[in-house]
Amino acid sequence: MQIKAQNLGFTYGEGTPFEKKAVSGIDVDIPPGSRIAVVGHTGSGKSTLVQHLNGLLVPTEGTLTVGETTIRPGMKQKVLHHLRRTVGMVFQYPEHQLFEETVEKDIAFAPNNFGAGEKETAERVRRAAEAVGLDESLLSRSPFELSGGQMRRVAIAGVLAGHPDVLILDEPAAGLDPKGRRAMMEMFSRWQQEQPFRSYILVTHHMEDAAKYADYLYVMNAGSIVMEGTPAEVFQSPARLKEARLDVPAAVRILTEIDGSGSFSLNTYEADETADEIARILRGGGPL
Amino acid sequence: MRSMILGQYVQGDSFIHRMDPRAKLTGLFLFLLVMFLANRPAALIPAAAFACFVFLMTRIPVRYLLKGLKFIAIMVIFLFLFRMLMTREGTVLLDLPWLPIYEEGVRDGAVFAGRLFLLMVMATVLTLTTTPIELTDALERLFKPLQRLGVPAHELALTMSIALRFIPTLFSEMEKIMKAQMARGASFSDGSIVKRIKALIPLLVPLIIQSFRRAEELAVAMEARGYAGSEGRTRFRQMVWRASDTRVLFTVVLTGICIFALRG
Amino acid sequence: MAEETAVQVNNVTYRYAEGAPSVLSGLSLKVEQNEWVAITGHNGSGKSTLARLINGLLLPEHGDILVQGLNSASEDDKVHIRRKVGMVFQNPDNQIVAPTVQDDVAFGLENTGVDPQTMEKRVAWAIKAAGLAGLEHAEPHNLSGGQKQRVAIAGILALKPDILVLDEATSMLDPLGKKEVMSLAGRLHKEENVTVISITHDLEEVLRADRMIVMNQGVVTADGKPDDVFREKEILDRAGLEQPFSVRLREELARREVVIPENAVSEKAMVSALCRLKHKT
Repeated sequence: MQIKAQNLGFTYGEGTPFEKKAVSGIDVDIPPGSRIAVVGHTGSGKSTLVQHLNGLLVPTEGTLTVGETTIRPGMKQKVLHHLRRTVGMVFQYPEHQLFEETVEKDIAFAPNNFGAGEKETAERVRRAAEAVGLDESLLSRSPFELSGGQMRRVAIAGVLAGHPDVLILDEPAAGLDPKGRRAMMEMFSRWQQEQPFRSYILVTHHMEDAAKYADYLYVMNAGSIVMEGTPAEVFQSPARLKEARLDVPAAVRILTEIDGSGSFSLNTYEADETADEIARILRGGGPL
Repeated sequence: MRSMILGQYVQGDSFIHRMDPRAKLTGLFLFLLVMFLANRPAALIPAAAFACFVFLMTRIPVRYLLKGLKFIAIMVIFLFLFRMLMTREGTVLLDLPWLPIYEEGVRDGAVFAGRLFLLMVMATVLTLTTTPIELTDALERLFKPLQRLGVPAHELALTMSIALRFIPTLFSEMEKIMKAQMARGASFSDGSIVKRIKALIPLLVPLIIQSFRRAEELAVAMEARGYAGSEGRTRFRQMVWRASDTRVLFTVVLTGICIFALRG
Repeated sequence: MAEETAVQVNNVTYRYAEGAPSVLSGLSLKVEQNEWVAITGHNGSGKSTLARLINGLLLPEHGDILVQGLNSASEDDKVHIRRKVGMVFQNPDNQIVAPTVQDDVAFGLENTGVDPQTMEKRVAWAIKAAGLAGLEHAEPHNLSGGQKQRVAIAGILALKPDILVLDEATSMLDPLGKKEVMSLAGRLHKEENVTVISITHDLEEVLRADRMIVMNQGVVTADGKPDDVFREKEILDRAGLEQPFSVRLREELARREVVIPENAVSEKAMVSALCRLKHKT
């Protein structure tokens, strides 16, 4: 699913005294099979931007094309319903959206709404539960009896069961301990790699995750995209990130201090790779 | 949507803004009482004059009030018609075959509607010039003597104040849950009424569960901060009843005397 | 005057309901006055339960908890304990009671019956100390997460506490909010001599502490300086934790025969040590 925004803008409460411009002049182009991160501080407009991608918000300026559908200002919410089949969204603290009597029914909510048949729904529920690592014995339990971590996985399964091609992830690992965070991100990574056309768009202010789990970054500040590129390209300008009130991953910070010329290259942003680079620089190794 | 201003607060520093909220509340209550003295439209003139006078003193633009009273005015006119048609006494003014209109009815309707309208104006003036927290505080203090009779004045005021604090939080929470369910294909705006009511379950269940959790956490936080009921508690907000506050109440009584004099 | 122990936990057992598995099983630990201790462990390791036991919100099934010598199980002591121990909870939204910042900061003072004149001064002072000047009349829902948590801290500060317990107080905040809250706690620790007990699984936050305690399944599995404890990979792993980047980097560098002095612990110190090494070559 190709996603393309051209000069997209959104103003809250247009035409009222409470009018507030949230994002403006946004151009993005996301081909199928992408791993994207949108980074920015709270209030930078990143949440507003991604809510357009599955039609929760309709732009007040510009256009947005998702696959075959083009969305223009003034379009009715109803038209956008089918957009939500192809673009799923995991909100921050998704466990707060659970409501059904059983885990199974809750996961089945999206497939039911999207008109999957009974047999198809049951199959989707089973596969989604498996994808998030929920034991089958939990399916008949009430979601509210589960631990916080399990509840979050139920909620995510509920989104996966809608069979989206694109997944928007808004701080999906917020509040988890370090191991839980890693497991969560690895799970989405696996989901994305299962099919060549699947994409995810990770919304985060966790720069290490953005570096590790995205191939392309959009940096937002004050409602606009102020930088974009591969992680390596973006992290080359720590000063500009600082202007956007963001940091760079520790690996980049340390290497930039040691080697001001920025002639290092990182892929995983993990400690072993960083150590390799430092060792190379210390031994007087030039650019690769 | 924005035409209802009863309950809104407009920042200001007028005499009315600075009045002791207890005096404002007592004044409103007195005003309601003296208006009952009126038994014909002309007798309401002093009350209307008083209301105009008070409103001008708030220094809030008249246009703001007029815009905000639209909804109330429609309601009042409706009540006037209803009351007029229900009263069947005195001489017939207009002999419509189905709905004869009586003189008594017009008079009664006008007094009833006038009283209600003026009361709403004054209540609006109260909320326009008093923050909700001042109001709850004033209520708590006014009802304090009744605490001995078992009226939980402190608890009621605290509940109100917490409600005020959490209403915006719950609204944004509701919006978030709504969006999350819409992202899962839920629709809140089409289908039959039954379908729409059913569609509210995925919204209301999480909202209620979250509210309970909030309440629980808030209770723990309050306990941790040493809250143990009203006993031995002091107040940060102090209220000062000035001579001018008493004078305002006296003016209300004076208005009442004028109304009495104008009774038919 | 003899230094009194700030918090003493003696062989404490706790379970939420009879028959339920115990959350804490024979836990003992000590926090000295003026220390900054990080208590860490995975979600559900019992660390938040411990926080609630410290100021008597929960009572131990066995064992006892002493705060500056006061027993949390005694009703009379509990009142004093709550005045000494300030708690900041995880969710910034669910601990602000009043509709404006200054009313909320005053809440604790109102509860303890402080007279209005003193209250006014203390509220103004606490708001300023928490860096919230100008927001006295702001409504909580218009504040950022970091600001809300600082309102909570200001409310505690107004009561002049000896001990500040941060119960995952930054886990719902963005990096900016985290920094705001941690630097405020740091200032109180230094300037007001407040003992800080920070319950967290944020590794960077743990590194700020003088001492770290790792909890797992209701008992302490490690207790020591963060630099030392963070080398115990196996213990960390079992507790759902990881080594912070700087510790992992140091180990990886050692494997590549790049040795950084023992005392260069912080990122800054590591960087300058590496720069010196670079100039030598």
